[in-house]
Amino acid sequence: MKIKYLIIAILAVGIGVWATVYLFPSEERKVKKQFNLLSEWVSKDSGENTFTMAHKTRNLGSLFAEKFELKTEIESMSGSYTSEEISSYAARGRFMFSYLSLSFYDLGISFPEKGIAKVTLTARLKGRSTTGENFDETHELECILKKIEKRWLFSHAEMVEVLKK
Amino acid sequence: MTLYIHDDISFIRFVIPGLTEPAPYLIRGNPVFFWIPAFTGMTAFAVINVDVYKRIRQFFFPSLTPRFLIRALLVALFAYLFFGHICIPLRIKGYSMEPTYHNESFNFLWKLHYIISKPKRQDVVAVRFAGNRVMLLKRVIALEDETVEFRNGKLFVDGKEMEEPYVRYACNWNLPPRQVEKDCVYVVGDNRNMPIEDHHFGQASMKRIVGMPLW
Repeated sequence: MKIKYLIIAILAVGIGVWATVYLFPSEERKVKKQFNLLSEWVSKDSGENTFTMAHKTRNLGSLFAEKFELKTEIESMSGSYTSEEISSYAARGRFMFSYLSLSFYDLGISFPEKGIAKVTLTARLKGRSTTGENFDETHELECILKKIEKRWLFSHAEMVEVLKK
Repeated sequence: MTLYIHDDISFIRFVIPGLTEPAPYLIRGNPVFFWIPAFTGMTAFAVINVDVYKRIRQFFFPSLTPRFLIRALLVALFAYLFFGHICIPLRIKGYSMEPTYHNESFNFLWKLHYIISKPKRQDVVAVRFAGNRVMLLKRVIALEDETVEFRNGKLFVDGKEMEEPYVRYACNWNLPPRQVEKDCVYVVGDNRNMPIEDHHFGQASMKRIVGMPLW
């Protein structure tokens, strides 16, 4: 009988903790949510319709700050982009792929200053081009998000060199 | 199905399901020993000591005593620490370590290996990205301060040609000499059957070497 009450008490505490975390998310959870949205809106299923695609590309730009800076080992991709440019590039880029999947792993989030989040993570982009070529790229990234009007927006991303040729 | 009770020994005979009706008390009292052979549709004969049977039943359907809960908690904690931080199960994806490690094969990452020792030449190591969820599996070909280069697919370390028995596919890679920096190792995959530009290899910091596969 005592065991039964103990299990009920543990379950009640667990539900309470879960409800608190869910209803009052921490800043860290809010940052993670932005990455989940980015992953969802970049990814593309093979049978995606035009309406879904338009919805995703329009929303994608809203995740980025007015000026977003990208630093990669590919010189032509590095540079500064506006949120409108990102939406536009995303829309054009998605036409080249029949399937896309962006996943993030091992997010390490720190807040060096108020209103700034620094995130180190592993990003994996898998896909298949419309010509049938498969690709699978994994990179470590360092991202900076800024809190603008109560929303965490991507303002900087840099590719970390894991293996130096 | 027929049950014969003889002192403390139960004789249980399983027949092909459908031919004989099982006794209701047998299903209620002996779920494990009835249903497993019944599903297989085979005829089997088992002699089970009642004590053994009780112990097995207690193992599969334990009473929720405090002792049991503490034991279950300790087992879960041990499994979490061991399989989450010491011996991590991993699925190999990709072809860069063929033929030593095949795509979609399974292994464990042994993380304690490089706590007291440093990676040696020809060791297969896991190189981490931001964490332990995704890693690269590569072979160490040169150590710190050594000079590494490829000439027509042959590996040269400090100007000396190295034997590489693990490389099965010939290649024509060319890479100018470069010195491995301090606290770093140079890692390459075993599969050189691709253009050098498409192969992910290079110098990795020792801090990124997290362990080696168990086999």
